[in-house]
Amino acid sequence: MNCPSCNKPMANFTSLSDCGCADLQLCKECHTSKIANLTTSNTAILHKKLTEMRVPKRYWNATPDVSMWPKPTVVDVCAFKRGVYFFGDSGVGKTYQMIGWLKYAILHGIRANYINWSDFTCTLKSDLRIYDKLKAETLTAPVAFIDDFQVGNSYIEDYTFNFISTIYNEGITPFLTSINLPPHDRFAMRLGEMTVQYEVRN
Amino acid sequence: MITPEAVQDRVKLISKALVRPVASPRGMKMAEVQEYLSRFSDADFALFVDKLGKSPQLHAVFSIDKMLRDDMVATLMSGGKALQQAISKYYKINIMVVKR
Repeated sequence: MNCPSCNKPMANFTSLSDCGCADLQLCKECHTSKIANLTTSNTAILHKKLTEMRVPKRYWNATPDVSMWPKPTVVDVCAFKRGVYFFGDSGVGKTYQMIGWLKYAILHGIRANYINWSDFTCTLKSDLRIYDKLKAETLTAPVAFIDDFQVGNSYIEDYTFNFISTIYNEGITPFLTSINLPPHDRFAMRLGEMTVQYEVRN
Repeated sequence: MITPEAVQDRVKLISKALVRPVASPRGMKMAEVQEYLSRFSDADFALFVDKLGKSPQLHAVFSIDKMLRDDMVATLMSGGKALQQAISKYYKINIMVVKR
């Protein structure tokens, strides 16, 4: 579609709102102030959502890097048909990559939840009876971003497996970060199917 | 064919990458390792050691026997296959180098 004023091709822009997002077509030359306002408003809504999800501020400028990924993987992950399991040493950029995908989801109007697994297990350990409530609260969206995932010891392993199994059964797309991949077959079978596994290195 | 001394030097490099002692092979095993490692140039082996050092998943499971059995030098240089074999057959591990 061309701009009615200058007849130049219009570009696609996303307008974020609390309920999701909408596509807008604007002319980069005639609608400069509208584009500037839209950018400011989108950034404000994005930051509001990241704050509500309790995403640490240090990752707010994250962007996913797909330069080394094969094209079919990029297509699947962009459509949230498959998640990604980022693993590797501390400080290599796993969470940065994952939050990049969280921002991508928000900017495309995809509902998502952010779960800090360490917080989740600490809360759970304080009272195992709240597990069902905690699980229901954290799995309300079609995409789940799980930071610092760990299978844990035998005390917590069954709950962890139940959580992963629920994600699998409900068709939720998971994005995870962890220092390692769980070697246990029951985890590996599900995580192997739901995610693409990337060892992140510097 | 590389010399037994060269094998010992390469084992020392592995040991350094893993930050733990790795026993040098002896006798029949030395001949096997000599034959296996002769397939790789010093540059290729240095690349393998570099990848091994950066892969904590392999640190715990590495052994000279496993290196021979799984053709670990070749598989690790070709991507994440060695990792995959070491952890679970259900994973298809890829390597992603992030510039910071």
